[in-house]
Amino acid sequence: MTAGRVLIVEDEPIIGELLCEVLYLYEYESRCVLSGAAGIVEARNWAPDAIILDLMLPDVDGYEVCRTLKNDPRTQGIAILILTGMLAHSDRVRGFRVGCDRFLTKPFQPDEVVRELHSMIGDRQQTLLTGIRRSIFFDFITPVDFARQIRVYQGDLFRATPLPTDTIEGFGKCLSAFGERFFAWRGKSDVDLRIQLVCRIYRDRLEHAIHADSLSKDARNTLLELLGEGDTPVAAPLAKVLSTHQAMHPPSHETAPLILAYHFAGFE
Amino acid sequence: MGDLTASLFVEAIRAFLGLAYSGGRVPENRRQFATLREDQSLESIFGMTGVEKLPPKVPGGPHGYSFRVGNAWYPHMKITVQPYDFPPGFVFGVDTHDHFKLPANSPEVEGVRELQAKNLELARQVEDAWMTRGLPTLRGLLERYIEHARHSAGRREGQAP
Repeated sequence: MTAGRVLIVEDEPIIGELLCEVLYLYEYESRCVLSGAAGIVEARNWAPDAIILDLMLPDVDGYEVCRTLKNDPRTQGIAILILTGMLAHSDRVRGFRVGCDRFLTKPFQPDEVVRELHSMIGDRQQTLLTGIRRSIFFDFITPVDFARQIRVYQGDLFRATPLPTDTIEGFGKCLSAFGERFFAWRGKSDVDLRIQLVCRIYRDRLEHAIHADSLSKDARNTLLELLGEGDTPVAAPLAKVLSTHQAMHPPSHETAPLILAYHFAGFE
Repeated sequence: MGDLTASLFVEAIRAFLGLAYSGGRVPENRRQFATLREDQSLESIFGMTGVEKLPPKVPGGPHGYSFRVGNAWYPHMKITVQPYDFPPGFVFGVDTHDHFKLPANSPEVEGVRELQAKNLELARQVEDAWMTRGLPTLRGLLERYIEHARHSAGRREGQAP
């Protein structure tokens, strides 16, 4: 039993070989081909779970390989991770436009490639069913941990969406500001308010939702105020949609788990 | 950028120039790279003309630089130096910068292929030269990662239950 089958399409044989060795350490079965055309043939014949795809290939380039495989019913379920030396934002946008699931740049850390493969292969069934590419959770336990979670969140958004860097940084700053206000408020309050924020990345959009248990009306209003403070790109829409959401779905039971806020940002 | 020093950078540039311009015939418009000194500050090196700041790998993260050093037959080849999470905290690379999208029936296809093959061969030679000098390359860092992982696994297997 292996962790999954991974096809590597990389025209630099030494890097391909080393990637195979890294994947072997993590119990993946892998094969490497050196051209885009061979990648398409191997993907159809071998049916891997995931493909690590370079963009600069001698014959058919990586974009074309990705587009071809994602448009073919036989291969469209294969997760594709683009691994390239092309660093421009326009390259990321184009990669996601032709259907890639992750976009990583060289020089890469082996751990980050393996982490993305685990996520793509492990969540493949869920991704096919729900369209959710990745879920990122914030648990608001300690400010230090929350700050670390924001760094992970920003990296995940960068690798799994075509959003520009400044937008991602804006989301991070906004969540950071909300977290600061929340921790400051909780430090002074007697209410034991536990909340969890989840960001769901879909192929074409992003959602943020706050879940809370056992939330009194006062706590709910406080949270609304905390979210609404400032005019950051996430908090303002979160607070606005929260009001709408509450108006449309008044909570029938105060102790029931609630989705308090919802924010939507489309990519395309 | 990690343990990067001007001295290491100058060593990497000199190794590149030695292979890219045989006989040391560096053209005038690339002379600035040949005359770098070990006692210069990294800031002054990164601030030279012909040096480009690369986008960070993750938002808010550190960014690397590329240097259009060229070679005897193609002026656009670049050296890159980028931050890396593991020691020594940076990695050198060669960007051949020669990927052109040509129509399949273009009369220039064959010439471009030859150019790309020649550039790739030079890039490999440069990376080999850097590795021989102990300068960090992606290949070298991957090899070290694999060796370390195997060593750790071997130690775990050798441990008494």
